[in-house]
Amino acid sequence: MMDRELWSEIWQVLKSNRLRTLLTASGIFWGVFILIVMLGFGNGIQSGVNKSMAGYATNALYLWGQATSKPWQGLPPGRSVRLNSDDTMALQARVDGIATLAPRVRLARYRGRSDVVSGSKVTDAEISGDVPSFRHVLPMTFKFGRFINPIDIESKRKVAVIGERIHRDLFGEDVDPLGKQIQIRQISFTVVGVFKPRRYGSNRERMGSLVITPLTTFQQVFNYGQEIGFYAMIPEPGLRSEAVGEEMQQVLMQRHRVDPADHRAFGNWNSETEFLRIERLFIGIRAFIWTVGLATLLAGVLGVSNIMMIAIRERRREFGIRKSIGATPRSVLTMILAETATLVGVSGVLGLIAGLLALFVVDLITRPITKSVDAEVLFDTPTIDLKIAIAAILALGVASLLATLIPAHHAMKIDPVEALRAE
Amino acid sequence: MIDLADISKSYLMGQHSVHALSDVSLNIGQGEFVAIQGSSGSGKSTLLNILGILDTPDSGAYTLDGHVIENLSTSDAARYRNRFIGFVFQSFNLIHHKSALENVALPLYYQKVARKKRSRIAMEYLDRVGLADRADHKPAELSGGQSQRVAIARALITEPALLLADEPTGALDTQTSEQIMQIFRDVNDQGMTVVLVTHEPDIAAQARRSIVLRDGDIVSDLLNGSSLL
Ligand SMILES: Nc1ncnc2c1ncn2[C@@H]1O[C@H](COP(=O)(O)OP(=O)(O)OP(=O)(O)O)[C@@H](O)[C@H]1O
Ligand SMILES: [Mg+2]
Repeated sequence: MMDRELWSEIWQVLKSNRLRTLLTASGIFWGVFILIVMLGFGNGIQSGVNKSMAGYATNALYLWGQATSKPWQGLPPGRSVRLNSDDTMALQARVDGIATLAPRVRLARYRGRSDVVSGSKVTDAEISGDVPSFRHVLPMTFKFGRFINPIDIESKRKVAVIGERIHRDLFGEDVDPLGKQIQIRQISFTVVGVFKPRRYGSNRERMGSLVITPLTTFQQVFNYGQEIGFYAMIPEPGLRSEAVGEEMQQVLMQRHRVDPADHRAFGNWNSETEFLRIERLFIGIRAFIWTVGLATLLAGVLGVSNIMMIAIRERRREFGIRKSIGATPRSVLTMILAETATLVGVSGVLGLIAGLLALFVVDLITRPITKSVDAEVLFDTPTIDLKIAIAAILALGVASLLATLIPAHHAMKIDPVEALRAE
Repeated sequence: MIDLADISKSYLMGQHSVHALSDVSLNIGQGEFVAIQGSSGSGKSTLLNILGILDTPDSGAYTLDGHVIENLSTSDAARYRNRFIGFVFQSFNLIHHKSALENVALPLYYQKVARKKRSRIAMEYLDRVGLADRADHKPAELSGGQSQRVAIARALITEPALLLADEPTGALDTQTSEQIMQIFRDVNDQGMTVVLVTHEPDIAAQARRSIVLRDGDIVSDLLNGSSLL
């Protein structure tokens, strides 16, 4: 259908009225350009925020026992609820939807520190007992050695994985500490790994000051018996951590004889709520972008329709002439639609290219800032889903063709006798 | 060649209907050169448009070259116009953004003739009307007489059986009119049927047959004995 003859006809017509062509084309060009740039920026901000949140399991839930506030089954209020290893097994067995359940225990209170000694050096650290699956809660990489493994747990080995700062202060940055001893409350542990969180975020000092030991070893050497401090839990993909946490509480309430309505008996915190708030913000931003972008495109489409309407009125006589020398109504329609398609297609693709170029330049300029290791800017390389961009342009083309159909139909129906009557 | 039987056409003007043509019957043979005269509003253009299948009569029968022209779809009408009929208008009706050559070639575009061939043939026809050197000029750069000659070349390029001209010299001075008429006489000599509308008696006198319309009726239809030079 789009043979070369038609192309040269179209080219001639578009060339013969430069201003009109330029106006129509610029409407479409800007519409696409703005949509692309805004989508790119939206994605840039989103991936920037995501990057700054990476390294935390974004949907982890923490759950611990507090004190009962209501009497239940003859028991008085004010009993403290102490979690233990049997709870862990019960939760594993009875609650569906748990992907990772990491029971944890700490030597001091939340964020409290204890001394760690190596030879003549002393430093303070947050000391915890953990299981191998804690890695899913706090994604990490290893400068030296490894994390706690199932054999450590099984045999209650006295081993420890230490944070970067502890490593630096006790042994020095470049010293391989594997196999060396550290003392916590006069008990010796062998260093088997130095970890580094995937991402420090704003907690760099604290994350570097962790000392992690096997849960079972910890319970035994520090006389915790079967006690668990709290649970860190990640739900199966697609599940809300809050919902799974609620089920866990139900199980624990039964086991510890707590009034099911006694919500103060357990405490919990989840990062998901934060995460969802940010997620909602992004949904808002994206809705805004699409609204503005589509409105701009719609304006472009209306511009096309309008200008084609005017153009066809101006060219009434031309269509009359063409018809008198043998143009079929269909060929007139084809020609007008092809003109529109060409105009929209070319200016749309140019807008796309210009938009991508603009994003590329923005990336070049911001790269030194966004790509530096400790970057806390909430912006990253602006990207575009090309499929979405092309779909947007196709939709734009179809919309423009539909909008041109009315004026084109008009042109098709032009009566040559009327159009050619001497002025 | 042309056979009109009881052709009527009327237009509704408010309450009244105006009879542009009433029961016109007419026979024009192959190779004739006919001039149609009449005062303004007598129905000349209406008749010519019906002959050219640009317009359709309200009643009556029209046969062109053995084809009954009736209830044609718009695209069939377009094809007939393209194949059988060449049109020349008083106001030239060239497409302003196309060069003389492109204007002449346009009917062949609608016959899907390839561009190169189209241009070559168009050049021949421009040469025939003496305008080969103006091939690249836009209509705005041509005089009235030149424009009309380009229009004639465009009408002739499809080698139509029938050439229709509505006041082709109406906008031209006497000398230029003479050049135009010379072309019509030439193509008629080569066997093409020519029907032209004019209100100038000396133009009409150059045709071989002269028809006069008044208020939609044929009031006289004579052969011009003296039409040959
Ligand atoms: N589209 C139309 N609507 C209404 N009336 C029309 C229309 N076209 C023609 N007429 C009328 O039909 C009659 C014949 O018109 P036509 O154009 O055929 O006359 P003409 O002989 O060509 O006149 P002129 O010498 O002025 O060109 C006139 O009365 C005219 O007013
Ligand atoms: Mg007339």
